[in-house]
Amino acid sequence: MIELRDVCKIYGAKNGDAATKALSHVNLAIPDGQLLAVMGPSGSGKSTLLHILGCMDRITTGEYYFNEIPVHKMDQKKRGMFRREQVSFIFQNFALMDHYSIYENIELPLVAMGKTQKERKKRVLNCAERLGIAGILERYPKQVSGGQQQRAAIARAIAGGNSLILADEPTGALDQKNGKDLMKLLQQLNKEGKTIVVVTHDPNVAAYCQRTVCIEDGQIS
Amino acid sequence: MKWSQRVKYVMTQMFHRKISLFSSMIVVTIAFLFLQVVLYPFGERYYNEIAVNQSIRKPDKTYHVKFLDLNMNAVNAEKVKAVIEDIQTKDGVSGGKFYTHNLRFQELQKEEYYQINHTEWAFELSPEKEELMKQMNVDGLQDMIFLDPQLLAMCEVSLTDGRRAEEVLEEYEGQNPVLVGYDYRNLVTVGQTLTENDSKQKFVVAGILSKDSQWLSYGDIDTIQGPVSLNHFFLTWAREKPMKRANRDVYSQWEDEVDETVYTYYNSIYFMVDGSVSHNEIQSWIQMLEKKHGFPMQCQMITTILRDSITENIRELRLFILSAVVALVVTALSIGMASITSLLIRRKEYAVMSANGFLLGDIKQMIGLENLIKIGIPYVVSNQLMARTWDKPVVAHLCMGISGVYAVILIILCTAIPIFMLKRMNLTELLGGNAND
Repeated sequence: MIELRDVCKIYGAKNGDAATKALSHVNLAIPDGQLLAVMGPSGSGKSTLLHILGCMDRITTGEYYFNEIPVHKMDQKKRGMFRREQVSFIFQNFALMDHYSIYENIELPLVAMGKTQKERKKRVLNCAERLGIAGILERYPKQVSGGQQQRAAIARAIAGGNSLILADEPTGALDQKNGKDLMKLLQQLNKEGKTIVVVTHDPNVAAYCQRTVCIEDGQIS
Repeated sequence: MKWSQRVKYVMTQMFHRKISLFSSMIVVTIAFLFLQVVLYPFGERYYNEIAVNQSIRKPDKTYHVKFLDLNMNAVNAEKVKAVIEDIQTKDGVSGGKFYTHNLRFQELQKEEYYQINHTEWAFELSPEKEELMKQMNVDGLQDMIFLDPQLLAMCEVSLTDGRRAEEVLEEYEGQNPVLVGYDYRNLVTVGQTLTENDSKQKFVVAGILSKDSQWLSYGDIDTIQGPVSLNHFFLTWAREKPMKRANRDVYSQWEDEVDETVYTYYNSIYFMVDGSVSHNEIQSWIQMLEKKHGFPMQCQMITTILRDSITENIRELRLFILSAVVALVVTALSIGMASITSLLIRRKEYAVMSANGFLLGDIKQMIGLENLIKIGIPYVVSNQLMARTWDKPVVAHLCMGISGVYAVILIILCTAIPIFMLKRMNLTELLGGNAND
């Protein structure tokens, strides 16, 4: 269970810049194994919410519990370890590293976890076969299509076996067919017990999710 | 995360941008070379001074003050010089500049200086050499001595086998002990031993000459290591009368000790004057001497030399410091800029790594490792390049040490600054979303 209690996120307040309130008193509970869509217009704070859930960003005020663990009290190192062990990301632009092969990109979280080479190879091959990209493992991101890149990104997200997958506009750079395939894939992962949060502004994408929350001006409506 | 993986990622990232990597390393190598080119002569200069200080135990700051033409005019000196060169050529004696003087390192107090009247050596000329000298018929030359190849041979035999000069002298006692080269560190001992033979002295040996016709200056003393070989020997005026020794402090006892007899056969004398002694003080000494002995001592020359020496030292020192500062700043800026540029170029990679479970500590270590490679390799390369020109290992190691410390500081700075920037960056912005979205 993920719980956000009265969470606020304000940018720029510490640096003397004009403060921007990205999230305002957000309360959200996400049960384990849920496929949740977060919808909202551009600038509404949905990506911020995602980054906070994934510990890429800190909340300004409020509380964040992950399976009753107070994440908001964690220091930077603990948040990093929490992210490594619990969270996987899928980004709109895939966020693959161009000068590493697809294989090396997929194995990235496993390297961070300190897995052995044998274990890494086994997991990478499993994920690649499952996502139908076993034939392109030696290629580089620029040598494959957008759909294959996104599959590689998903393979990377599931390779670590983390329970929470956060997807930021995962279909944004894909055509309609690849977008549908991707959402079906996420549904399948969800059925296997993964908790998935998808940030999108596309109602068609949200339709694949079990639950949808809308966010506007930093507030969940 | 394992170190092997860190190295792999760093190497991949670095070699992916080969031009950036190699240009950066070339700049750093040049900067290190520049730094060491500046450091080495600076170190060499002080190393020489230290070597001299260790040899004769004199104070750190000394200046050579030359008393010119006390009893011999310059014309005679020039003639003598030419004749010496002729004799050396004819006899195959390795040459040296005309240099007639007595070295006196004044023993001021509590052995701060050593009195080195090492020059009272006597030996007989062979009839052939005497005849040759007569033929030359130059004023003041009748007492001149040159080195006999036999004597040189003896020097070699006597002193390259590790014995002290005084041991050799004892061995040849009763056979007119002759010119002996010596280990500079045994200078005083040799002089003292020979003092007992004053009555037999006929010729004076003073100074150090080398076979390649270069008069060894104090800066060259370090080239004499252990027992002296054939490359070093003595050559100077002979004298007609036993010489009085001025064993006491010349400054305080000048009027009592020094008289015309002492200096009759010397045309130049060197004093080691403590650097704390002012120009005016030296000037007043000279004026006092001139007044007493009644002939000019070119005191202007003395002060000029001294002043020039000081001015030159200060100028060189400033130049060295300025160059060193420029080298340090240029190096730091070039490496720092390269490091920051590198961070800015690959910040997205760090963001991706961070999103995929890499801790900030992992990234810090990778940045540090990269800087270690980027700075460490140029450091080693520049040392290897410079090693071809280094001839003083101690100075070379000193330079390597200093530039090594500097390299470590650079590595730390070039790691700390990007990490500081990295901490302040909003990495989430780089991952496709707007932080405010």
